Amino acid sequence: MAVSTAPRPAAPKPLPNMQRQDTWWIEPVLVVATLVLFIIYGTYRAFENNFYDTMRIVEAHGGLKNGVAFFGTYAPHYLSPFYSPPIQDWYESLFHSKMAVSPSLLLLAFPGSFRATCYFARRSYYRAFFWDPPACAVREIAQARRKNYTGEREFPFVLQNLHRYALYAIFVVVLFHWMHLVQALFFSDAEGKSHFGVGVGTLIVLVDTVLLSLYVFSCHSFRHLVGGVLNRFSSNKARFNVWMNVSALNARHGLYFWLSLITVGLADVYIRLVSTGAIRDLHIVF
Amino acid sequence: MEKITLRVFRGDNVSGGLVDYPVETFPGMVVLDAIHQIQAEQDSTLACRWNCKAAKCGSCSAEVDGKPALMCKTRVDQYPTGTIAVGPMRAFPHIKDLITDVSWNYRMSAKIPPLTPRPENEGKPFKLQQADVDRVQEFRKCIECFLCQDVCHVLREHDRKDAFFGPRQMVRIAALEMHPMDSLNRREQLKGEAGVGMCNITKCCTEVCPEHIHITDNAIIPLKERVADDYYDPIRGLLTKIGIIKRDTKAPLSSVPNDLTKIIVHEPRPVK
Amino acid sequence: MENYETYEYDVLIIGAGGAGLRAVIAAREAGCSVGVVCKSLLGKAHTVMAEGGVAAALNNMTSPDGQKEGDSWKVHFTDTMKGGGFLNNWRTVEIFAKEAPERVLELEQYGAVFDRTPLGDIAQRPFGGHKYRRLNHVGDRTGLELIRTLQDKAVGVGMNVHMEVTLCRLLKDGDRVVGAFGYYRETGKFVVFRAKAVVLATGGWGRMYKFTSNSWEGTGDGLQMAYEAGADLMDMEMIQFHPTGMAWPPGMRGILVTEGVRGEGGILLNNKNERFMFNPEYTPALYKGQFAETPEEGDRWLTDKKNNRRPPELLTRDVVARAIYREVEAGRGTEHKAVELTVSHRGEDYIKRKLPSMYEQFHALGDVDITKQPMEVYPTIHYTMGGVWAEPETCSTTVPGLFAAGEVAAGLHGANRLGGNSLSDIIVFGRRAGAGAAAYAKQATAGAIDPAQIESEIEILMSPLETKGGENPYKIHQELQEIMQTNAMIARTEKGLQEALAKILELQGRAKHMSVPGDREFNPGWHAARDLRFMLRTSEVIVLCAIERKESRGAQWRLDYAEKDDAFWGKRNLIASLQGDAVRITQRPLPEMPEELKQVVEEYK
Repeated sequence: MAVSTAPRPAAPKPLPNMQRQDTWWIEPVLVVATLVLFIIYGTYRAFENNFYDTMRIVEAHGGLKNGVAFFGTYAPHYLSPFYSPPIQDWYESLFHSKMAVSPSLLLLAFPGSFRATCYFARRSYYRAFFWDPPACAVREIAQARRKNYTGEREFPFVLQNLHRYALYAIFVVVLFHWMHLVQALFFSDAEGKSHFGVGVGTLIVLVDTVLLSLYVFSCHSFRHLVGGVLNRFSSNKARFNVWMNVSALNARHGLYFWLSLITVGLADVYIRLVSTGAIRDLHIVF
Repeated sequence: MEKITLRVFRGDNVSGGLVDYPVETFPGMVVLDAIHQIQAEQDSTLACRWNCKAAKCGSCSAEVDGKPALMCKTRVDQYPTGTIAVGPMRAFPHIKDLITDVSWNYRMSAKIPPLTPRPENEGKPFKLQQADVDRVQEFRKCIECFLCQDVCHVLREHDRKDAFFGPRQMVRIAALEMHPMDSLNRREQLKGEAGVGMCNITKCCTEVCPEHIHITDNAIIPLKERVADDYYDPIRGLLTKIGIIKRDTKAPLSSVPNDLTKIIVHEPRPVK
Repeated sequence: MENYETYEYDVLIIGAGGAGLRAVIAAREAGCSVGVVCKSLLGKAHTVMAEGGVAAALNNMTSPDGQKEGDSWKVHFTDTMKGGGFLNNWRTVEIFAKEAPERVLELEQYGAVFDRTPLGDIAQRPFGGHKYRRLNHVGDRTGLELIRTLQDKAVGVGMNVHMEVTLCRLLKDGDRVVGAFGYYRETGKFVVFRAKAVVLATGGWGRMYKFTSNSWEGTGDGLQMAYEAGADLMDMEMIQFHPTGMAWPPGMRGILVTEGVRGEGGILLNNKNERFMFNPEYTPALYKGQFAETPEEGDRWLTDKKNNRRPPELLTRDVVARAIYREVEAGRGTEHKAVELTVSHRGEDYIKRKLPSMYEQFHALGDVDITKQPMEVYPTIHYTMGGVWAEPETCSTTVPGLFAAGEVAAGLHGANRLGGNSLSDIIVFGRRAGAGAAAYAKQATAGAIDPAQIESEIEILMSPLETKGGENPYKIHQELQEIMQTNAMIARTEKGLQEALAKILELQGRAKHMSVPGDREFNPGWHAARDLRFMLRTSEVIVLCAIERKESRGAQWRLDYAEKDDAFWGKRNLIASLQGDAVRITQRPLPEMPEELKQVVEEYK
């Protein structure tokens, strides 16, 4: 019996170049522009190692009394998300000296690794930076790499499988974000007494914190860990309900990725502007 | 009645090119209607696959203006230029005109054993809640049009059919892996020959799916996470070793025979 | 003569729809080697078009008081016989009603994932002609679920699948069928299958009509191959018109709107905004008093099925189709000669959850949002009740070695099929045919292949490629569709049918001299030429039977014989068989139903 199951000989495809005619390239261009801008700014800010904590500015001037005029009567407690958690403060209280490197360079590893291994971010940068593929059904440009593509099976991309560990780490960051939000609700007067209040910075920190939380808690790994791993949901109603809620958030994971990336940058920009005295923080103190 | 131009790829796996056909439209006309009109009135040798013409069978997969799509679901009035290019799926060996050899997909599917209920559930009506089956039912909507396979750059651009079963089969495995009654451990196959690691989740499969299955978010990523549980999570591995996390009791896939089925489409045709 | 490949199997299964695949599983379980041939790709058969559900009396549903509805095989048996105008073979229906629940539960074991009830059982929905909620379903894509399940299981048990092969001749050794001959669609190369037993699971034929839900495959080749091999055909006049095919836009004409829309509360309206199904004229005597008589009662039934009767939109398909036809004929239709079906009152969420593919179909293809707007519907050709006569126990036909199951076989549905019965038909009789063929194959030896039969078929196949200046098959097909649509559709008369017959005979003559351009490599024109000859012959049989049956029953509606004639025609099936080159129509008395089943019918009517 002649069973012919051999695959058809792979003849060179004579198909004409029926490329997509639409504006598929807009997305990768935007992704590259946004990420490059963010990375340049983030690096600059990390090396700047200054203007990230309004209370440090007050201290550097010897307190509000000695005239940090641009804060006005009350100085806000704003800390840039790039320098959170405040390891510089901890280091100083332990060793009584400044850290040898910018704390931001160390801290960036946490959100950095979480964002770098994020399933949504992978989709975006594999497309925009690696052109693997640049867009759906668009020819990849680096034809030489055709056969040796290994996806996420080999180093370094196999490390993407550790996303969950980056998630555990980012929980700490989120916790500190909320703590900083609480701090941002208090304003110091010249005597050093704290007063409850709300400033523009508080609102920016609030938006940033909420969006970061939405981004983190809509994570695919989180969705898996809270309930996705189960096969029979009816046997664990509580986890099922959590999974349903996380799934609902997860549908907008990509949106939260971009929004939280933008707001974290804006929060830093704002705190820097306030710290340098370029603008004055508007606030109401009760 | 308006006239449009259908620019159809004509040819076999040796030579071919685009041929323009004038077509008269009617309200609600889809690309497949236009192809049928050409067959009946202009050239009956134009080859295309189709069956239900209602987006239920997944036969008429092609690439319309360079984008993978079902011809029966693509309205001609959404192309304002009046010229529509139609070509075959590019990820598969080309046969003639709009027809490609998609049998590879069936061969990979044959390597995946069907649902194998645990012995205690065998032969008894299942007791399941809607919540238990909702997730699996999404995957079961698949009509096997293979557009996801066509758009997947792993298969399309890198031609790694040797290392990756493709999004369609990921969806199939997901439906079995997450089935509350299945007794087989599918993760070894997933990591191994099925090659879930080849996917770099660029989501094009999800974008083209005519059934709107969230292939990447609901099937592939959860499968990657399950594989990570078993193979890439050192702490979890340790906890399993010392017995804090319960070991998976599913039977290895090798316990059931597979590959019993042969898919025979034609004799390989020599290149002319 | 050119060389051709030959494959040998214990059991050859022609058709890979639900019936064919279920037969594969049964034949494999009996230890036979199995080859299955499909005209399309695997898993693309018409089974995917079935939407509403698979009917089986599992009795899973409970009334608001917590009691089970009380369904049983007896009720299913009675409903099916009633729906079929009692033309059904009682034994076929008995087996069917008794085995369907078991087969459905088996599907679940194979991997089908049905919708669930709060108690954790398979959910069932109401459907036209079924007394209780009986259609086990998966949203509105039950057919897809069923074929995918059977496909995966069949691949798991092992078979050789010959995809995109068209068979055009059953090969005989004496009286017995011993194989089949055909060609690879892709290359045009000929291929021979040698088998100890052959199962025919080739589905129905509807392409000879203009408004049809059938794909290009529905040309009746399986039926004609059996007929040419000497098998008896039965009930060929009985062709089901699904009452609700899409009527607008024209690109979508004929595509089905599942009966599930009405099962979920959809209502039919004419252009005066009347629910015309409440017109008492439309309810046949057999169903009087069993349906809601006011729209209010019909609405209440949606929430309380026990204390209210179901709305008349859920009458059997033949009844609803005729009512729509009459409304449109009386000028109460829409501008596109259709009626309106609306379900928007059920709310957006409910519709999207229960009828997702209908929502999608209208949204994407028709620019209609069914959660807000009505659909325009008109009857479309949908299913063929008649076909190859098959013995109920093993599905054997009148030709030794040939078995038939599913839509191609006759006997189960009588004059009209109930929705949901086709899916249970294919799993019940697919299995029986597979097992029957396997048992036959085990005691049979492989027969001899007669090259003369192959050569005569090759001659027919090659003729359109070799003829120059002949007729265009597409043109003949179009003319056939026109005449069948006007004269042999829902309302039939002697005069119209005679005209159709004359036209068909004329077309048959012209079809002897067709020519198509191109070569044998995937050439749709060439394929169409062979299919057309099958269709012309099938059309002739349909029209002859429709002329012969001088009464109105089920799908057969004669304007010149508007009454049901229980005394004479109610006791007879029409059999068509080949005599020489002509069609011979004979009347065959229905087998007598045993006393205990008569009592069952009495009890549950």
